[in-house]
Amino acid sequence: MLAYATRKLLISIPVLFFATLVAFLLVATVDPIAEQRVFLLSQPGGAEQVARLEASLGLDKPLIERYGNWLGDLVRGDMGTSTENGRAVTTLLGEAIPVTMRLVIAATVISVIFGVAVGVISAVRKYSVFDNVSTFFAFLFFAMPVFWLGAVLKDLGIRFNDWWGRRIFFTIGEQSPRLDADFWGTWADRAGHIILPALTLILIQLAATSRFQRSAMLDVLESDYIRTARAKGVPRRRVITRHALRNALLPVVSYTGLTFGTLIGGTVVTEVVFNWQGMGRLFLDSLLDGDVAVSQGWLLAVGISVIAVNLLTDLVYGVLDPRVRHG
Amino acid sequence: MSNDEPGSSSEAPDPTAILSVRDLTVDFPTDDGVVQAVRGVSWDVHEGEVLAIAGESGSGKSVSVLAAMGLLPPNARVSGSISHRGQELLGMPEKQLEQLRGSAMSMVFQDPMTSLNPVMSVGEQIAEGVRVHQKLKRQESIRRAAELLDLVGIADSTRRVDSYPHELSGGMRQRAMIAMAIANDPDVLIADEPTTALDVTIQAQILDVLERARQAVDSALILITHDLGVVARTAHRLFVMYAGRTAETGLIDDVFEHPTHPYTAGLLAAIPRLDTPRGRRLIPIEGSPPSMLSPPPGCAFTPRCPRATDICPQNPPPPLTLISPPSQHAACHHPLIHPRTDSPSQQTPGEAPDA
Repeated sequence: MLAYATRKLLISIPVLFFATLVAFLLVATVDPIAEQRVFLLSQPGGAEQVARLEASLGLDKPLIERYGNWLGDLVRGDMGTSTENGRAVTTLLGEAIPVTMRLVIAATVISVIFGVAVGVISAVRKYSVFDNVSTFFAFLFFAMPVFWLGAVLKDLGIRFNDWWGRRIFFTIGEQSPRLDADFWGTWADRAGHIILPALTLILIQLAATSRFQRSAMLDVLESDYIRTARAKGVPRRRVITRHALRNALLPVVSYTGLTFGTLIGGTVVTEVVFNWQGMGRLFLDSLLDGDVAVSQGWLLAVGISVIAVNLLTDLVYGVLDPRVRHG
Repeated sequence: MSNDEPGSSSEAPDPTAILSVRDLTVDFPTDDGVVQAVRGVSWDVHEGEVLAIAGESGSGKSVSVLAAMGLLPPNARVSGSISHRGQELLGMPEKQLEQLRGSAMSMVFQDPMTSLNPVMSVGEQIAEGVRVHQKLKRQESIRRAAELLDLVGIADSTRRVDSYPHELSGGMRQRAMIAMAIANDPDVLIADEPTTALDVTIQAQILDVLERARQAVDSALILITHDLGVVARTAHRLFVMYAGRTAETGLIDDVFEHPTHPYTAGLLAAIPRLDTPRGRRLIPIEGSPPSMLSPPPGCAFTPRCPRATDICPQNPPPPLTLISPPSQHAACHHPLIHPRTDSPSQQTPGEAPDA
């Protein structure tokens, strides 16, 4: 297992390097002053102004040198500063990441737990009422765009609050502004804010996970070794949990790792719908402002998180499947 | 379904038998219609006996033992009777059946590559079977698993208990399956084509291991096979099935010496033998078995049978009748009567089992 983990960790290093290259190039190959350039060049003396602007942004240097500088700073923990507000990119990310992490972790953990449970019950009671109802809802939510489901839940939340006469669901922001509360009060406030956006992500993620778990489970239940376990006299419940589920989790683990990137995409949209000051808002603003350093830093941070999650997926897979671990 | 036959298997289950099957039918409803996998079969297996059930794929031989184990898919419709030491198994509550499975009756399957759980160590898989039926601590059950691996000839068994299936060869895995099957000293061991998926070079080894394991726990053995060569060395009694029905049954030596059912005769003629003169070609049975979705009304073997006459396609074969004393019964309109035996009246006209 240790050898396997080490191997996986080492493979991540070139991938990480490649991620820095992509994060840099995706943004650096776009001209951040395209509009000003057109305007300035039409003015007398505009050429010098353009040259000065380029020099201040470092655009006069060749791409490879700019990448080298960026990478060098990155290694020293400096991701540059925002051209909009002059704050360090690391500080901006440091503020946004914990906000988004709350949403992503809550959505992943809950959707995986419920997705596995729903999938297993659906498979074991194939074509039962439970299976048919969960199939219906799975397809319903799977077909919904994130922004639309988010907006619908937001609307339902507001109607519920009005009907209840008290604010249960918060629909704007990740926490109340200028909240003065103790530890528990703060988390209770955060919980009220996270329910709807998390539910948006959970419903869509849960739909896919449960379908995936169901088909994996049905496959496994048909297999010869399940029949062997039953032939040994192993009770049905234990056959399902010990023999079938353990094998049927493998494809779901892969799937969860693979769709983590999609989940980040969904989170960006959800954060915008619910006005969260997290990674989604940060990225959108940086793009609209042509804030090069922030965009690059954001892409890199997300890239690293995807690599880290895939590493984690590989490790879980190794724990579950001896063939992978020994291979 | 009634099957009043004067022959070997009477209506009532044999209480002295370990496993007694009477008038077993198994149907599988499918989208295309009902597959009639087993159509009225009766047999017994007695203490310490090795019964071979032979037939082509689709003849219903596996399905009939899976019915006994209660391992048929849920859509199977089973009727008749299967009793274990006089206790009826069909319709027995699942909980009760679980207690018999793996302890009183156990099974070795065809494909050892897929029959072991890939994510559980071999020792743990054997030990689990032990713990389900005996009150043992985990550590003790693993030690027992090592002993069993030793018994089936896996060297270095104390280390091998930690091996995963993918680390073992096909032959080793089948040995592990056999170890698992005898873990709780069963009365009856069922082996469903245990050598079919293995290399020819280790088939004989596995048959030896199976026989040794059987003797170690002193159980009966039901050996299911399509290969009469496999049967010859191990079995005491042979039961030949064709298209879900019994074709012939008798002591192995008698049947090999002079088969009475044309199908058995055909099967035997198709086996390569060392004493066959050089240059003599093996004689295949032409054609293929009928579809069990709509089996023919008469004898299902008719289109392939050299002895078939006009009555064969119309009338189902007569019930099993003693053709060649003391042991050989066949269900055939025109059985092969061996000259040395005094032939009883071979036909029981009129009375025929409804299919």
